[in-house]
Amino acid sequence: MNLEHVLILLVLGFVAGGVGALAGIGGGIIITPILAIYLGVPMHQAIGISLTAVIATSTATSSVYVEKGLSNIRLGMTLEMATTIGAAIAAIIAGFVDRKTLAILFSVFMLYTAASLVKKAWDSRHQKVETEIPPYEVRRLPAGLGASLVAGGLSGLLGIGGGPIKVPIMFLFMGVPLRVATATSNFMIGVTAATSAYIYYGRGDIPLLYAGPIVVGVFAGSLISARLASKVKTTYILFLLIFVTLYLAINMLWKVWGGKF
Amino acid sequence: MTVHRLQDEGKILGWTLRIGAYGSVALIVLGMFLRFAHEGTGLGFLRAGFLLLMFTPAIRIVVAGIVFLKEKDYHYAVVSIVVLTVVVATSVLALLGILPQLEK
Repeated sequence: MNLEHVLILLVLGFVAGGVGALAGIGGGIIITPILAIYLGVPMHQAIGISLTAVIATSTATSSVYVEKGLSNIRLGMTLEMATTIGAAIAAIIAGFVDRKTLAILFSVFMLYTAASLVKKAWDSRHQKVETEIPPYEVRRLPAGLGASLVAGGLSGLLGIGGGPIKVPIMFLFMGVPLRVATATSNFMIGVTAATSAYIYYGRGDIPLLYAGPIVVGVFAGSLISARLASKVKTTYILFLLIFVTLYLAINMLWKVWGGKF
Repeated sequence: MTVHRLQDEGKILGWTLRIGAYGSVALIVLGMFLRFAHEGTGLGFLRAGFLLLMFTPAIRIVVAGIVFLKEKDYHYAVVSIVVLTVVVATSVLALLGILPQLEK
């Protein structure tokens, strides 16, 4: 570990955090595969490092959403009862899963994320931004708790935030306006990722010297792009991210296929 | 039973998260800097930074629970206690190393 590594990790965190915050997804989906494919970090450690980055992004950005009253704190904490249990169970299970299987599961989730980004990019062409939050009533809480258990599980297994699962469920099934759903999902991610992170840390799967620069980079990147978000047209960012996630997913599967994982 | 929401409940939680995030990143930066300035130093700050980062969400649950109690919103005070129990139990079991895992 020398200064050059630190700089590479700082830049990786900065770009992942910045682009992720502009597109409304966490940086984990980019950080984990780049660490695992190109920097030779073992899959479990790449996931552990990504979890700390996810906590930093969620904590920094949700402090703003919470103050603005965008996050539904009560709904968020109710669903956290399920996400934390899912996260703890899945993080323990992850310790018994070999890294090839983890890499395949991660690639599948990247493909799912790419598909959900395509839908988002398509909608963003003609969807008006919700400026005022309409009054709403939360419906179908049991379905929300079930989806949260799954989202928490994915977070613990793959080190991601689980936004692409929670946001559509809250928006489409539970009657929560999109902006509130996004802010509430973000609010829940910190607690969920922290629950898994304890288990990865206890197992020795969070190498602090690697995680340090990543966390600092992600923190700076997401804060800066949170300020830029209203000034940049997100459609292009979404197309860039779709390309990058697809490229990384194929690369990861290719490596597993070739026995180089 | 009436619930009187504190007007600044979002502000209290927002500041809890902000202090945790900036505080932990500051400790991590300091730790990394010391580590490269003098070999063999800085790991303590680095470790403290990561512990603060990982426990900020737990502190946020405690603060939310206190806010709900002050508002006499007992339903959500209980919800906070449930979430806190899961989080604290997991962290204690994990950090003491008594969760099932493969031999390394």
